[in-house]
Amino acid sequence: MKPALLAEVRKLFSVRSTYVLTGIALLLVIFFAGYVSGWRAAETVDQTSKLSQSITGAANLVTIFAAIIAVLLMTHEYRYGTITYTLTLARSRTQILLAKILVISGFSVVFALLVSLLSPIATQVGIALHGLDLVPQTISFGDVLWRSIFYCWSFSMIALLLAALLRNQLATLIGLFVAPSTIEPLLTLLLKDNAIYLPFHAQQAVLTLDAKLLPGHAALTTLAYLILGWIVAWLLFQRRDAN
Amino acid sequence: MIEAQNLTKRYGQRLAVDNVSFKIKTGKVTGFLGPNGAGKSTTLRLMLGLDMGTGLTLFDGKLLHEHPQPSRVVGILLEAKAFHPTRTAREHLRVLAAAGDVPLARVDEVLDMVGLTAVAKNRPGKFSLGMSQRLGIAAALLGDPKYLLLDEPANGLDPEGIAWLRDFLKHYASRGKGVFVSSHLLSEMSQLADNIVVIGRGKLIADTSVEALLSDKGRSGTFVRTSKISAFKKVLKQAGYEVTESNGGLIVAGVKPEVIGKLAYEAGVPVSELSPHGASLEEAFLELTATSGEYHGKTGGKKS
Repeated sequence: MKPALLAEVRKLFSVRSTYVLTGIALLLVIFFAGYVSGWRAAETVDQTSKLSQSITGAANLVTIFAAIIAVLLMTHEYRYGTITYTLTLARSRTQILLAKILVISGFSVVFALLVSLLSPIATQVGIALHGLDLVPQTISFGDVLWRSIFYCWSFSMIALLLAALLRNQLATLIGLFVAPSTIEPLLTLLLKDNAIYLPFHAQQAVLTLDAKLLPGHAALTTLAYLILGWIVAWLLFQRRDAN
Repeated sequence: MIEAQNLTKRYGQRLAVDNVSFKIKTGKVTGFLGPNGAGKSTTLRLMLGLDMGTGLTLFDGKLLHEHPQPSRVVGILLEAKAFHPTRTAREHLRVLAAAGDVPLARVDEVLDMVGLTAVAKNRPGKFSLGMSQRLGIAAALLGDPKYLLLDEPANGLDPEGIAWLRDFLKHYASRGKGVFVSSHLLSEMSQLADNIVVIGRGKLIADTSVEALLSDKGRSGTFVRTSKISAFKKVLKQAGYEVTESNGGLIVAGVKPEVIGKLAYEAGVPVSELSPHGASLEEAFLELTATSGEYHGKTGGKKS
């Protein structure tokens, strides 16, 4: 298991796209949290939930970058044919899949922590540079942090899962955008109130809060989809040809 | 020894590999030949468990993934361009070394072996086909495996590279290791391989030594040059030999020169050249696979 894990870590950190996408994400956090939410929104400095909103807003904004990195870790293998080496060198296909899940989990958690740390700092710096003072904040860091981390991790896991199922980079990226933006809204028309249990709805409710679904329940719903999805992906990964 | 047993792969109605079995011995280079679409690459993928089919392949009596460290058992080159184009050559090999539990120091050793040390920090996306092949060979050598399975490794190599590869693989096999190499370069294969496995339309056609293949009755014989071709041809045919005219002389199949010399002497036919004739690997291959080609071209626009 250790060789598979080390190989996946090396794969992740030896391609430009990981750094470029992470860099863009962090720059976006600085821009939106510092400039838009801090400097330009000086009139809202009296809001006691300002920093809390800054963290969840940043996580909502840039999680897609962590998800794209997850997609690339899986689909590059098929696009460039390195899957032949990966499957030949490992002792089992399960180890490979598990290694990818663990590495992307670790990466997305660190990514979410970075974003959660950077966004309130950027907001405060933006407000301070504008010569204003933020009112004392009522913030439950633990609550905001777990919701942001879970959101980033679960979205990355969904992305990796889609990539494992589809094995095609373009199809996965399209799926990742179309499913939450088009398919689920259409299903909402059919399911009405029960639409809150759709995967992307539930996953979003963890971060942005939905009166109909508590964050804990939303997280459990998301986990249920992930477990089911990964069982299917694992079965297919064992049985499919490597191309 | 590698034992491929009853390998079969079906794509829908089409049998790509049909119950193919053969053995690859250590200390030998085994060539893998077959026309385009014969199922060579699929066979290699089945052997490695990359494609799902029936049958099994045992590496020293065990399935590949039953070995504690598969990288020590088999090194593969299936596609020359199987690398991330922006990951440096060295980093590509480091990833594979990590996956195979091979010390990272081995990466620079194999880069040196294949002559890519100077471009180790370069991104391989812009490598020529020959350089890509060398990187693929380096990847195969990482674990100093007991067996090498190489699919068309000479493609894109320059003459110097081909000569290097030939010497390298022969030397590798001489260390008691097994080399299984597919190639379309038949002249190259005749210089490289000790044994030959031939498949056509997914079926095994031959699994033999090169020597046995070329000396097989009908593929070896005697070349005789004479000023009385027609007369001597008639004599040979009357004696029951199979004769074909070639290169201003006659090729008599399946008979030694001394027999033909004696016949010529008895018939009073003057002989200006008398030598053993061996078929080339290309001739043998074409004969074996005459009805097995998936794709046939036309000459001069006429139907063949």
